[in-house]
Amino acid sequence: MSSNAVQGWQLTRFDDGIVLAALDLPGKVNIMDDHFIAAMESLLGHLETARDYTGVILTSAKSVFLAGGDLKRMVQSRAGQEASLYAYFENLKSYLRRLERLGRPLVAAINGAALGGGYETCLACHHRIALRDMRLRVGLPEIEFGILAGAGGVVRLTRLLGFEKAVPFLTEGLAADVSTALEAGLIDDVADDAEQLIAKSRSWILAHPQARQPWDRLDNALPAHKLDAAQRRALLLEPGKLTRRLAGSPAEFAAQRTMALSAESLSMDFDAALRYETRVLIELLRTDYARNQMQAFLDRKSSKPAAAQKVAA
Amino acid sequence: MPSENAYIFDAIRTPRGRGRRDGALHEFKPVTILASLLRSLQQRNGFDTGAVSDVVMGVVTPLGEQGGVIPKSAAQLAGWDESVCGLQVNRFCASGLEAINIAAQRVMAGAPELMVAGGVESMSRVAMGSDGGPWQEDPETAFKVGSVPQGISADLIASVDGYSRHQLDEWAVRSHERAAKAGHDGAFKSLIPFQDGVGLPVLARDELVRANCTSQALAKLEPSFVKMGAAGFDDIAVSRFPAVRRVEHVHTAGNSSGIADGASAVLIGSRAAGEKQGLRPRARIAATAVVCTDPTLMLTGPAPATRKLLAQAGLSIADVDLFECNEAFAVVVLRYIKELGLDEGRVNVNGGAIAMGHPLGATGGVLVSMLLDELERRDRRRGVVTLCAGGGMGIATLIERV
Ligand SMILES: CC(C)(COP(=O)(O)OP(=O)(O)OC[C@H]1O[C@@H](n2cnc3c(N)ncnc32)[C@H](O)[C@@H]1OP(=O)(O)O)[C@@H](O)C(=O)NCCC(=O)NCCS
Repeated sequence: MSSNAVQGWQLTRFDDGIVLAALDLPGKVNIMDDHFIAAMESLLGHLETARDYTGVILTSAKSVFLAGGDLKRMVQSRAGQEASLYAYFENLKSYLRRLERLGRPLVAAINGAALGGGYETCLACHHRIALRDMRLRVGLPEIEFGILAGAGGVVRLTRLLGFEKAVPFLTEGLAADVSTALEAGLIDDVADDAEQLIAKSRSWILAHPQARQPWDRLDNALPAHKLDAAQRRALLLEPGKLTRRLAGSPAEFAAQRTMALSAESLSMDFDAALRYETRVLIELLRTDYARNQMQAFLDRKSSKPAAAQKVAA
Repeated sequence: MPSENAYIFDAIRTPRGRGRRDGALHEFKPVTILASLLRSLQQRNGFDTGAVSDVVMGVVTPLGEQGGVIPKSAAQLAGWDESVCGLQVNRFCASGLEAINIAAQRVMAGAPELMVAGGVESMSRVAMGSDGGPWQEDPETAFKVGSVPQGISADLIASVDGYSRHQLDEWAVRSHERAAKAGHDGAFKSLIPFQDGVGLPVLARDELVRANCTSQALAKLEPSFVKMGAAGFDDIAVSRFPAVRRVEHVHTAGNSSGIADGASAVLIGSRAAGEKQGLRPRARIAATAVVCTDPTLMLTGPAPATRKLLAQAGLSIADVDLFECNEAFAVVVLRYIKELGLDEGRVNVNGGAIAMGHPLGATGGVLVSMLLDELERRDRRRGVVTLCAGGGMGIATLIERV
C-alpha cells in the first residue's frame, strides 16, 4: 500500500493495483465547484496516463461524500448566458464521462451523503456501495431548486432504472436512506462499516475486470418505439399523475421538463442525451423560480451555517 | 385546367442533419423539429394560424414518437390555433410531395383555404424500415411479389442499363460539388437554421455535404449491398431480369442518398385565402402525377411520372427550366436524364440527396423549396420535382412561378 498526492484527492494504492481515491476538496464539504473541476482534471490526468492499476474506488475524505452542484455559480445564470452555461456544463459533465470510460472498474464507496452532483458522480461509477448509516442519504433533490440533475443524473438514472422507476426520484427529489436506495436500485450494495465498504469495493473490482456502463455497450440507444407495453403505459400515465400532484405549484414546470427529458432521453444516443439534458437544465436555470429557490437556500445557509450543513448532508 | 389555382406562398426547410446517433439533429425528437419549422413559417409570413385549415405531412416511418398523426401534434406544440387539422401521409419516399399534392388538389377542387404541407423524418431516431410491412415481414407476400430491398433495385437498374460504378461516382461528386457551391453562394434561401429550446444554434447547414469529395475517394468505398444480394435477393432480381445474368453491386455509401434528419413545410392555398392574410404567391402548383412501374426495378418511376405530368399540363420537356429528381441512388438520376433526354445542367443544379441526405418523408418538400429558390435566383419560370418510391411508384409535381 502506498500513497501519493493528486490535487484534491487522498490517493491510496493497494497491492492488488486498486486505487482508492478519497475526495478532499478545500472547505468543509466537497462541492461540485471549481475545486472539483480541478480535482477531476488532475485525477483523470493521472489515471488516463497510468496503465498499472486494476480499478478505482471513489470515496470521500470528509463526512459528506459530495454535496451538490455549485449553486453560487448557478444562481447567477441569466438570459443571454446560454452559450457560456452550455460550455460550462458540458465541460463539467465530460469529467464524469471520462471517469466511466477509463476502461477500469470503478466503484463508488459512498461513505457520506451523496446528493445531487454527488449522487450523479456515483451514477458515473460502475457499482455503488453505501455505508449502512442511518443519516446517509442519496438522491437527486435538484427539483427543490426548480432545476434538474444536469450532470448526467436524469439521463443515467433513467437508463439505470427505467422511466417509471426513475421518475419519482427525479420529480419528487426524494433523498433516500440506505435501505430505500438499495431496494430501489439507486445503490447496489451496503457495507456495515468503513472497512467492509473498502473490502467489498475491492472484491467487486477484482470480480469485474471488464466492467462497463450499460449505456456503453455497442447498442446504447433504446429507441422509445421499441419500449414494451408496460413502459409505454408509464409514458401515457405518468404525465397525468404529475399534474395531479403538482398542478398550480411553482415547481410544476421544472417537474414537467424533468419528466419530459427523462422520457426523451430513452430515444437517443447516450452522449446526445447528455447534451440535451444540458439544454433543458439551462432552460430551467433561466426561470425566476429556480433563481429564487437557489437564492433562498444560499441565504439560509449563510445565516445559519451549521443548520445549512445538515440540509446539504 | 383546374377552376382554382393552388399557390405556394412560401416553402422552407430545416438543414438536413446526419441521420445517425452522432448527427446534429439527433437530440431533437421529430415533433420538435417539425413544430420549430412551423413556428418559423408563421414568423416569416405573419399569417394567423387559425387561417390554416390543415397541416399535411409525409412521414415514412410513423412509429413511436414519430407516429400518431404527428402533424397535428406539431401544430399543437407550435402553439397554433386549435382549429388547425393534421394529416399524416405515407407513400414511401414520395410522401412529402404527395402531402403537397394533396393540399394543392384540395385548393384546386375549390377549397378556399390555406394549408401547410411537407414532411418530417428523424431517421436517426426511428430507423428506416422499422415499421415492417408485408414486403419485409410477410413471407406469403415475399414469395408472391418477389420484392427486393431498394439498394438491390438500384444495383439491378445499373446492371440492366449498364451504368458503371465510375459513372455513378462521378454523379455523386457533382452532387457534393453543387451542394457545397450552392451553400457557399447562399442559394439555400429557404433553409432555416435550427436552434434548440433556449436559442442556442444547433445546425445551420446541410451536415452531410463534403466540399472536397473526389471520385478517387469514392472509388475506395465498398459496395453496400453485396451481403444483402448474396442472401438471396440477387437471385430474385435475376429471375425477373434474366438478361442481366448477375447483379453488379455498384452502389456505395458515397453514391446513395444519405440517411438524414429534417423537415420541410410549404404554405399552400387559394389566392383569396392568401390575400386575406396579406400573402403574396411565389408560385403555383400547375399539375401533379403519380405512376407505378416495375416493382423489382422499383426506382424507375420518375421519368414516366414526369411524362404523365407534362402531358396533363400540355407541355414538353423544353418548357421546363429546372428539374429536381431525388437522388435516392445515383442511378435513379442518370436513368432519368437519359430516359427524358435532359441536359444535365438543368437537373439537381444545387446538388441532391447523395450530398445532403434524404430524410424520407421530408424530402418532397425539401426539393420544392430548393427548386423555388433556384427558379427565383435564375428568374426562370417552370420546374419539375420528382421522386421514386417503394413498389415502383413515381411522383411528380409541376411548379410555375407567378
Ligand atoms: C448506402 C447506405 C446503406 C450506406 O450506409 P452506411 O454504410 O451506414 O453509410 P455511412 O454514412 O456510414 O458511410 C460509410 C462510409 O462511407 C464513407 N463515405 C460516405 N460518403 C462518402 C464520400 N462522399 N466520400 C468519401 N467517403 C464517403 C463514410 O465516411 C463512411 O466511412 P467510415 O465508415 O470510414 O466512417 C445508406 O446510406 C443507405 O441505405 N442509403 C439509401 C437510403 C435509402 O434507401 N433511402 C430510400 C431510397 S429508396
